[in-house]
Amino acid sequence: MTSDPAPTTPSDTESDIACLQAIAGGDEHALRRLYDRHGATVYGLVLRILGDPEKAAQATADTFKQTWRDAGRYRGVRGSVLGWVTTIARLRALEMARADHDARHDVLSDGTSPLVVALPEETQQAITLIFFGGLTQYEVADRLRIPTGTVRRHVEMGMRALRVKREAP
Amino acid sequence: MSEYKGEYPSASPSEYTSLELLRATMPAYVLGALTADERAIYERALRTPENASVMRGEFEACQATVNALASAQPVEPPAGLFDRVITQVHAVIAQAEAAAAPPLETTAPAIDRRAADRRRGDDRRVDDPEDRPAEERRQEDRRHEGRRHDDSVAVHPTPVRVVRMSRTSRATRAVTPLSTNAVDARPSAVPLVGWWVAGAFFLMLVGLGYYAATTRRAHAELDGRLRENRVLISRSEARLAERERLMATLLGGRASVVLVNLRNATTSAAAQFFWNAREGRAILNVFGLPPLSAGHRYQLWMLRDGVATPVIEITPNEAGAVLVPGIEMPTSTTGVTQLFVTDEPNAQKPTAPTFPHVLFGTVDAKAALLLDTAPPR
Repeated sequence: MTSDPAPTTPSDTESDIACLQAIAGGDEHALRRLYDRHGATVYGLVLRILGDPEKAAQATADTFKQTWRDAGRYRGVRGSVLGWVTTIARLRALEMARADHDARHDVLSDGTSPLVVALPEETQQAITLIFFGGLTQYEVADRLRIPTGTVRRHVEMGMRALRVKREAP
Repeated sequence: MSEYKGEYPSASPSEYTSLELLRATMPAYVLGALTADERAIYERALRTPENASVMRGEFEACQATVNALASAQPVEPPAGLFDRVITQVHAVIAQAEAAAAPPLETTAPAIDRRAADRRRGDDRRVDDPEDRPAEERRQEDRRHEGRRHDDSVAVHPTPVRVVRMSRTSRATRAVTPLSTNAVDARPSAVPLVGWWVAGAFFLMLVGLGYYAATTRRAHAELDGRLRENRVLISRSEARLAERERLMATLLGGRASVVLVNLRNATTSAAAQFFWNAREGRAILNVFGLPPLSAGHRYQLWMLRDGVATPVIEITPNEAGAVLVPGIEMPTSTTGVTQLFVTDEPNAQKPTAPTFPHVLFGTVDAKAALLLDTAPPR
C-alpha cells in the first residue's frame, strides 16, 4: 500500500518539534501523534531497505522506541524531525540487514525510487545501492563493475539533479 | 554547480584544500557513500572555522535532498504496529526501573527525583509521589528512565553548542555535589588571601624600586648630555659673536676695505690683512707661520711715512694660524706703504723690527674694495 509523499510544511515541522518536546517529557500520546504522521514514511523506508514486512515492522518499532529514548537530544541538524527520524530508521534497518548477511535483500531487485527515476540508470543504481543498500562507493564500484571515480561522479551529479528537482517551484 | 573531476582525499583533512573539493564530497558524505575513515576525515575538515560556516548551507541542502529520498516511498504500516512500539517502550521503562530500583524502601528515590527535576530545569511543581494519580507517577518515572538511556544515534555531524558554566553558577551548584573538603577549607581561606596580598605588594614594591633606579640612571645620563650641549652652545655662541664682530669690521657703514697680502718668498707662510680705512679697523688672517723658538713672539708692523710702527702682537696656534679681528688702524691709508711680520724676543718692548721679515706686503690704496652696505634710501 503506497501513498504519495506529502511535502513537509513549516507548521508540520513546528508541530513535530512540539511532539518531540512532549515525548521528551514522557507523553505517550505525543509519540502516537508522531507515529501517525510519519509511521508510513518510516515503514516504507525500512521496507525498501530490508524487503521483508516483518523485519520492517521490527525496524519501525525500534525506530520509534529510540525516538522515545532520544527525543531530548534532537538538535535540528538534520533539517527536520522527519529527517532525524528517517536517519534513525535507515541506520537501524541497515544494521539489521548487515546482521542477516546470508539473506540480505537486494535493493536493486525492487527497482528504483520514484524520485530518482528520471536519472540515468547507472546513477539510479549507484544512489540506490548507497542509500538503501548501505554500500560504500568502493562496494558500489565492485557491484556495478565501474571505477570508483565514476561512482563518485554519479553520486554528485545525481544528488545535484535531485536537489534541483526538489528546489524547483 | 561545477562537477569535481579530481580524486577525493582519503588520508587527512589537510588534503581538503579547497571549498570546491569539500562541496564535491558533500553529496557522497550525506548520502552515506564514504567509508568510516573517510567520513571522519571529512568531518574534521568540515569543522575548521573557515569551512564550517561556508559549508553549512551545502550540508543542509544535501540533507534535505536525502530526506526527500528517504520519504519518497511511504507505505502504510501494518495495523497494530504502534501497540508493538508502545509495548517495547514500556518494556524499556520497566527494565530501567528494575535496574534503578533501590534494594530497600527509603525516602531517597523521592528526593533523588526532585533533584533530577531541578537539574533538568523542569518548571513543573514536584509533589510527593504518594499524593499524585498513578498515571501521572508512571509518566514521571518514564521521563527519568528515558533519560537514563543515553545510546543516541549519531545524527550530529558538527559539535553542538556547549553552555559553559562558571564554578559558582546556579547550574554548577545544582549538579555538583557539595564537597566536604571545600567546607573544611573555608576557614583557612582568609590567611591564604593575606599571603597572596602580601606577595602582590612585595612584587609591586620590587617593581617600583627597579623602575625608580632605572629612571634615576636615565636622568643622570640626560643631565650630563645637557651640560655637554650647553658647553658646545657657549662655544658656538662665542664663535658666532666673533664672526659678527669680524663682519661688522669689514662691512660696517660704507666700508672702504684695503686688502694687503703678506707673503714669504722662502716659506709657505702667508697672511691677509683686511683694513677698513673708513672705520679704522682691520682683520689679520695668518697661516703657515713656523713654530717660534722659546722666548720669542711674532709682531705685526706697519711702515708709515718711512717709520716702522708696531701694530699688534700675534700669537698663532700650533698649526701656525690665527685670525685676529678688531685691530686698530689709522682711518686713512695715506703714508702707510708696507706691512710686515717679524720674530721678536719677548723680553723687551719692540721699538724697531729685526730682520729678516717673516712676512711682507705692500699697501696699495688704489686696490681698495668699496663696499656699500648702507640700507637703501
